Amino acid sequence: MPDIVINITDLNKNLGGKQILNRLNLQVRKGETFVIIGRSGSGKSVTLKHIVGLMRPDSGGCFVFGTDMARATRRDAEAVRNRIGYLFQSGALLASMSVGENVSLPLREHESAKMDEDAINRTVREKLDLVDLDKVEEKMPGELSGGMRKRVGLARAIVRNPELVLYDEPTSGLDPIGTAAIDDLIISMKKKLKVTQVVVTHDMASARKIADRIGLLFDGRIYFTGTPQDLDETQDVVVHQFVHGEIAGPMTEKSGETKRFRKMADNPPSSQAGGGTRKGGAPEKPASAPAPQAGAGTEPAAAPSPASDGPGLPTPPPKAVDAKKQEERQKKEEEGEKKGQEPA
Amino acid sequence: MLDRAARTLFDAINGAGYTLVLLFRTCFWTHASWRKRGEITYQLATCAFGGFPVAMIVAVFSGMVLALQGGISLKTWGQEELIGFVVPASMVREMGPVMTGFILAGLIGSTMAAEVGTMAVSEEIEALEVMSINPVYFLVMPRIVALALVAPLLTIYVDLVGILGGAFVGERLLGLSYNAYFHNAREALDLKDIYSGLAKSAVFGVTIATVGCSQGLRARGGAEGVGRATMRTVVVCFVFILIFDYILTWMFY
Ligand SMILES: Nc1ncnc2c1ncn2[C@@H]1O[C@H](COP(=O)(O)OP(=O)(O)OP(=O)(O)O)[C@@H](O)[C@H]1O
Ligand SMILES: [Mg+2]
Repeated sequence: MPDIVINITDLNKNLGGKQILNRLNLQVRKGETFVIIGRSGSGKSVTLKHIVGLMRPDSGGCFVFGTDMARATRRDAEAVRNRIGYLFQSGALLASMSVGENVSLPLREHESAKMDEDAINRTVREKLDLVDLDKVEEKMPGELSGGMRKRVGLARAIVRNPELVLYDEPTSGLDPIGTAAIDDLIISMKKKLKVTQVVVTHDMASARKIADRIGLLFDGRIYFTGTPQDLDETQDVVVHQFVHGEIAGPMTEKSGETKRFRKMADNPPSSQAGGGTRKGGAPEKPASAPAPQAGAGTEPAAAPSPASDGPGLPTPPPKAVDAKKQEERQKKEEEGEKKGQEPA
Repeated sequence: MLDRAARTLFDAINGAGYTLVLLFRTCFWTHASWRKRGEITYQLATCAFGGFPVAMIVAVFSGMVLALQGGISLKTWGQEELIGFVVPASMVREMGPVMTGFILAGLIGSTMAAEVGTMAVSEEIEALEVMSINPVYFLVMPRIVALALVAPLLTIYVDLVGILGGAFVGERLLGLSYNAYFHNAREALDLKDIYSGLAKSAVFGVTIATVGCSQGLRARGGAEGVGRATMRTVVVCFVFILIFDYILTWMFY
């Protein structure tokens, strides 16, 4: 399969006692723009870090350009990284260097033999121009706004014309115009330079705009893969909940963190999305709770059986999404509270 | 309780291993010193200018107190001119390198831990890795090389200032002429004292920079983690300066 650039197979990763990635499978083809969406903390950044070998999986393979980054030596990993551009979620500029030095750093360290000072400066300016920045070369990262820092990070990521670019939330913290500029940049990288790209984003609008395929990361796996159109048409409750940003649903069933979210939503001040169905219970009181397993067992198959992540193969299409959801929601609320209290 | 002790011990051994490996990897990268000469020079200048003012005060008072204490004790036997032997010998062999080590640990070692630690917690180290720039080559090696050079230089300076401080106290409080003092000083010192002192200080310099970088690279958990790395650097450096001082003295004499 020469046209598969990234091939992740059954990747497991446990961080701080939590199974963050759980048999994750992901294939990215040459020249395509693959967008990863998913809740905050679902492991999107962790997935990207596996692709560049910054993190090593507990088990499973992570092949990039045919090299298994899970087991590569430093030298092999560097050979692969030389073909990759990576935009960190935080930008990750070197604070002790000016913007110009930051962007030119990969050139100076690797291509200095091939490029003279003029060529380097020209390239730096050209890349900064691409991300819609000028006259910032002399500034220090600390003097820039968050959005500017991110764009400098992006300029640095693409300064060596990589074949594969990984973006960790390229447009978060940008204004709508900046967002559009970055979206255009990503699209033109694909069109003109045939660059393979993986984009992590929370911005559904730009995901639809730039993506060839979208993957939803949920439960430590790529739960759903498909074109933007597939994403909109699917009947899958999980995807539906995420795409439409609903507070209640199968996605918010799991962790303790979600419970906090729900509590916040329960409190009247911000009750917006159909908060009427609730009876004002006292969630802190330790209700007489049966074992959580028993509770989970009685649950009427709320969680859609998340089988394979074949493109656009949704699981049981719950037709009357809304009516059913209301019911489920009440049920889960009670269970969620019990579960939450159990360990205390 | 026991669990915590075991854990601390495990962490300590783990950290020591990491630091040693870091030192070996740095040795491997020293061949790139010329390519990194700019950064090394910058680090050299920072360390030197950071160290000199404090070193001067510490050195002058160490010399003076040595002379004073020695003078008071020796005066009982009317032997106060012997401080011309005592002060230079103890400055050059022991006080100079160790004092310099302490100063550098507190000033430069902690700064290195904070700098590198801040980079570690803000993904900058990872950014270097992704750009195929080895952090050992890029950050650690220049710092260790610079401090290995600065420490002996600063030690010479501390030695000189300390000896002068001793001479001053000798002349003012003990009624010794400068001539007699420096005559004794020349008698007291042989070449071995000087190079063993400088060798010691070079070892301390490498220790301080290695520990600082190692703690910095392992810093996790935001500003708090950086603070912890800084504190640990100073403590670990103090301890190891004394341990290595003993070992080296034993080896040289
Ligand atoms: N180095 C680490 N040590 C321990 N846990 C970690 C580490 N890195 C990430 N995690 C955990 O892994 C989970 C996923 O983190 P990740 O950064 O991938 O989330 P994300 O999907 O990128 O979220 P966001 O959209 O907020 O950036 C989080 O729960 C986080 O606490
Ligand atoms: Mg992230």
